[in-house]
Amino acid sequence: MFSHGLSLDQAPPLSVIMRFFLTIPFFGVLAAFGILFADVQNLGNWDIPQTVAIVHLLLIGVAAMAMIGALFQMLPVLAGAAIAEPLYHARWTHLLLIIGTLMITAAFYFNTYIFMHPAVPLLIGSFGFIIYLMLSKLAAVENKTPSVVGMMVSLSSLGAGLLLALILTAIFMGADFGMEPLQLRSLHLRFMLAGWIGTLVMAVSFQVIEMFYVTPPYPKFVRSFFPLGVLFSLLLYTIAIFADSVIASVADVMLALLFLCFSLVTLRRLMQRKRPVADATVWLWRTAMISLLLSSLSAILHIVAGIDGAVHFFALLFGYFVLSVIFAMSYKIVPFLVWFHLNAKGVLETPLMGDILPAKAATLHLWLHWVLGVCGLFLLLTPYAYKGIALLLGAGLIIYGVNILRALKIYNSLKDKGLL
Amino acid sequence: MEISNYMRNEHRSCDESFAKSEHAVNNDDFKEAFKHFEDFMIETLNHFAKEEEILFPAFEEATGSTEGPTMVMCHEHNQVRQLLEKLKDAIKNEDKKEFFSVADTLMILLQQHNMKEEQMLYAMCDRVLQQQAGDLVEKMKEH
Ligand SMILES: [Fe+2]
Ligand SMILES: [Fe+2]
Repeated sequence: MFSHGLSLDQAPPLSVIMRFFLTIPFFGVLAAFGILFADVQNLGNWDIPQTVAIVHLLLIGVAAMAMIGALFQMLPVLAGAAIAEPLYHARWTHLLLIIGTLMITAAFYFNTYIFMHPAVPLLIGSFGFIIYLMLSKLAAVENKTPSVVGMMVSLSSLGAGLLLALILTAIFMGADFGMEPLQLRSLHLRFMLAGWIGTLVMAVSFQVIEMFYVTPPYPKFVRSFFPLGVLFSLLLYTIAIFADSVIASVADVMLALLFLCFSLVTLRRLMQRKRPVADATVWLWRTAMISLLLSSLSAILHIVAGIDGAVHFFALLFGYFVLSVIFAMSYKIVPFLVWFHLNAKGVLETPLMGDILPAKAATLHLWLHWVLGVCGLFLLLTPYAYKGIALLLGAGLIIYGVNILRALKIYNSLKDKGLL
Repeated sequence: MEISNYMRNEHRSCDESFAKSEHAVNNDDFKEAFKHFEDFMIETLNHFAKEEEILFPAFEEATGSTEGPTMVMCHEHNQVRQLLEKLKDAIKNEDKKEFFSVADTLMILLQQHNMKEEQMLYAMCDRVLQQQAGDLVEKMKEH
């Protein structure tokens, strides 16, 4: 009766997840180089192609890779349905994403727009397939928890954001749809930042904050209405941008308020956790949520008080928030999966999570990550702080890469010593 | 919902005992820690026994499958059992670092296990075992 693929044993091979996670430091370091060699005057301008390139290196090369890797792992748990041939699909989508990301960012960074043409089908193809794959599994889940709904909103927004990107690229290449590129860009970035990334973090938090740190669950109101609230605000914005700029601003403030409240609730939950030890990941979550809080406040300042400079703080803090969440998640997921797969293979004396990813290594990265945050404050004084940001960002991602690789090395050295 | 609610509450109750044990170790009170750990271990093993001896067999009979989700759940129970022994040793040896290292692994294993049960397996039990839900819960309470 319930035979349609229901099984709880669909942990995909470790390499499916690790290949995506290992790309994070690669693109992160590239982005750091991008910042280092960019003209600091350009970096304050979010529409200049160089800046656009760096933003996309971080959002596709780092954030999207982290999401896809984590979803390959989480989807079977959340949806109770296996992804058929996960290794095969992980391989080709990963490869296409890497090439597509390199091409599109090179096109922007070096003004070599010839790369734009092949990059578009590569990215649309790989993202499109991932969205289809994940959404179809999620749609089939009978017990639609708030996390499942949140992920569906997130993936749909990613789809909408991609469509907008496609239209923008076409206009960029000379097509005319009678639409304003600036308005489309405003839509694109809202669907991506709030819709895709913001809602994804909400959906994931509903699950993992309670699970990793043993906290009370998020309030039912937050779980049921926040992801849908984001979707509603985005749709309102979409209609309003072509009609009424006041309503568009209202939609923007609604978005910012939703994330502001979400960050406050999460900070409160982390305070209420029943486990006494605050490891590096707890602090990374706190850092993430404080950045999100300040980022949302900056957005409100910009919209309501018209303070132009607040846009930069909105964007930079949002980026810092995304990075912090990625590190916090990886430092639990990676050592757990290494332990889990080794243990399942019957390896005697499987090293524990604390041996696979030593607390000291994570803490070192945490401190460096905080120094990066402090360095960002110096932007108030001089744009040359971007040089320091570049170096610290690169160094943090190298440490992250070393930490992940160490875990993978432990796995590889023991994986054939199992009894099962 | 009867089965889901009953089993979910048991999961939460185990979490509480475990958190108390962690607090005691954090304060270097290993005697207190052992007391709470014992509660946790007895509660957890008892919960596993209810699943393996009462709930899962009933589910398997109703669905006619013994190799599906219940088998995976039993395998994870065994993984938890191994870690419980390790945790006991760590408390006995008053080894704080080892304790938290095992505790972290155990907690994530157990939480993701519980999540899968609560989100899928129990929800399915509620449906396929609807008629006997009351009896089954009674039986588990007496166990
Ligand atoms: Fe169980
Ligand atoms: Fe259970």
